Amino acid sequence: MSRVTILGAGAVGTRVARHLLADGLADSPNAIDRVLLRDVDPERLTGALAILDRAATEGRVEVEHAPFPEELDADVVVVATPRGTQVAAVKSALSAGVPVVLSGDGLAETVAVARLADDAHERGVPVVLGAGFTPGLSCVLAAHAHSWFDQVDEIHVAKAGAGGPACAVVHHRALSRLSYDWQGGDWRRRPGGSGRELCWFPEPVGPMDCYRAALPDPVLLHHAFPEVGRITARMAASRIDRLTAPLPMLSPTHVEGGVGAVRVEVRGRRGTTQDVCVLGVAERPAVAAAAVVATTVEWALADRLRVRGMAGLAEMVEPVAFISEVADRGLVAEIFEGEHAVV
Amino acid sequence: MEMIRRAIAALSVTAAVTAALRAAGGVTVERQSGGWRPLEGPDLT
Repeated sequence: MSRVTILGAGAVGTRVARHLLADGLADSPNAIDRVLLRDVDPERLTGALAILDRAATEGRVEVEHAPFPEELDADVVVVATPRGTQVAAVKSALSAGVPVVLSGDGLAETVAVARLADDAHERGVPVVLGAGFTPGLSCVLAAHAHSWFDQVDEIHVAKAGAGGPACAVVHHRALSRLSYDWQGGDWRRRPGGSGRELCWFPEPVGPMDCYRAALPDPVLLHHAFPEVGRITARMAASRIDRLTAPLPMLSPTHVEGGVGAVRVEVRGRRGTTQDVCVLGVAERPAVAAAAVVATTVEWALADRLRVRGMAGLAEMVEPVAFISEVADRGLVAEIFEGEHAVV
Repeated sequence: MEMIRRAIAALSVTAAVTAALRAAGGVTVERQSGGWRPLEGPDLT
């Protein structure tokens, strides 16, 4: 039986707890019998307890609000906290020698956490960086599509939608920050909100204009696939999003966004022909992120993660098995079959 | 004054032409082939 600590009881953290406790009913050696939820907001914890009603009644859920105790007694720690708090959380888990699953989607925070990679490697502790919808499932889809090619030349990721309020803030700010694309052996910095491209996401999202933004996917994918010549990431945005991106958020964020999507386009050579593969998923981002995080936690508990150190999901998991397992949680990946592009 | 009148006239004509093109171009074309389908079977091997 295992114990999981979830830092952050927001849209993602609470759903991760629900997934893990539902799985805990199964008679498995890695079944999770206890989940500890930590959050600075007592109201959020009360709301989470109401959602986890049955498990809470059975005494399988504990909650803690600030000030938190020093020790971190868990088999896996999930970091689902807002930006600005994730580095400290990962440091704390690393010093306790506990595997970490991080669902953050901000570029600056991801890079800051990545600076702890040497520490994670020396300790031999798995730290999964970017284990949400995107980055996260996007990286797994890229890894799966990558396996179909003899040589991959380009990977392009696009995302639409945001999860809870913390995710919406990161989404908002990303359009006004520099984007980092990998091209021709170097990082190219370009203004967020530039480079419009029409991307066709799985239904019901459909076609949306996407723009460069400060997204961490290229950083994680370049680490996983250093031989790929071009890696880019874009996010869907409206004219209002782009116009107001440099300003603070003018209106309160929604409790949760609507259906979003991720789209991964991989270009390369199969045999003697150039080919394109497009994979995607449509789901509410917080729901999707929770399914990915919960599956990653199970893999960590079952010692199925490939890297004993820090890496993104593309390196950490076997793509086919992972995609199948998140599909069991209702997160079904799709493939685009358009005019088959063979040059 | 003459220049302002000409500019207003030019803008009006542009707006009228744009409106006409938008109205005429409003017909959507259904996709003839392809589309999204679940990733399953041989795609997941």
